[in-house]
Amino acid sequence: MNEELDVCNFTTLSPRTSLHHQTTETFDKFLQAQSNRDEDAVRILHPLCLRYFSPAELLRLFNFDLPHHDVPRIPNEISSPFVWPKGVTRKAKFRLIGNSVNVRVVKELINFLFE
Amino acid sequence: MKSSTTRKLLLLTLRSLGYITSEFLLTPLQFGIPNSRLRYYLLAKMFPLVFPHMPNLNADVDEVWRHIPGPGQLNHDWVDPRLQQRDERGHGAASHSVDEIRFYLDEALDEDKTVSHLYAVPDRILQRWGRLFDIVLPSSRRTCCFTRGASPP
Repeated sequence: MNEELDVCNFTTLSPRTSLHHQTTETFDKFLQAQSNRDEDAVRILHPLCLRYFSPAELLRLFNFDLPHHDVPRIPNEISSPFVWPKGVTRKAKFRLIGNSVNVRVVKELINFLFE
Repeated sequence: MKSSTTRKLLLLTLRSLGYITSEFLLTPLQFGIPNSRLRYYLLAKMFPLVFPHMPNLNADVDEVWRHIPGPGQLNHDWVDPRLQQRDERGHGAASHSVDEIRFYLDEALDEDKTVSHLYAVPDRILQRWGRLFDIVLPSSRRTCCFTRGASPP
């Protein structure tokens, strides 16, 4: 039941960090600098290159698209079969995906429903 | 959730209309996808159709399943690897059946280290909310939340 206790802080990615304690140490330094009223404390976080997930990445995590190991890679070809209608903003994309359910889970439920 | 009066009313109403129901609490993690997103699902079929692999109809009708019953590898309750690791010293089979996040990333996005990233978290957000972030690495096997705050401003 632990999962229900997840504090739902939003998820960001540190793309080139390999070990978790590196982000923890960096954050400890940042918080320390902040509590010392260091106006420029945020620079300490810059090496982590923290970023949001892209809409295409979220589509994979919600299984609208397949992850890389299930898709044969064709060089110089866009692998995503998913196309957004024109004029959908980035913010709207995030909201739409975030409000949806995971396609794989629903697929398994539908298979069970019609078994 | 089990004590929810809304759920009870919903189930009673469906049954009074002749539906057989089955309920689930499922997360993408149990299908190998590194996203922690436990959700309640309710399926209903009009009697005499019934659900396969379910104990008889008069059994505990309030049971909420933690897996989809039937043959196959997924035919067991999902156990949070964070609970399991304590017993198995971090080598629990369950934790490694979930993908690493790197398979879900756009590698090209992180190739150019010189340009400011299209999806970089802005400084003012880092300053204000940084301490509340759930930070994951390409080698992580879990992401948490992507709603509201997760969207770039």
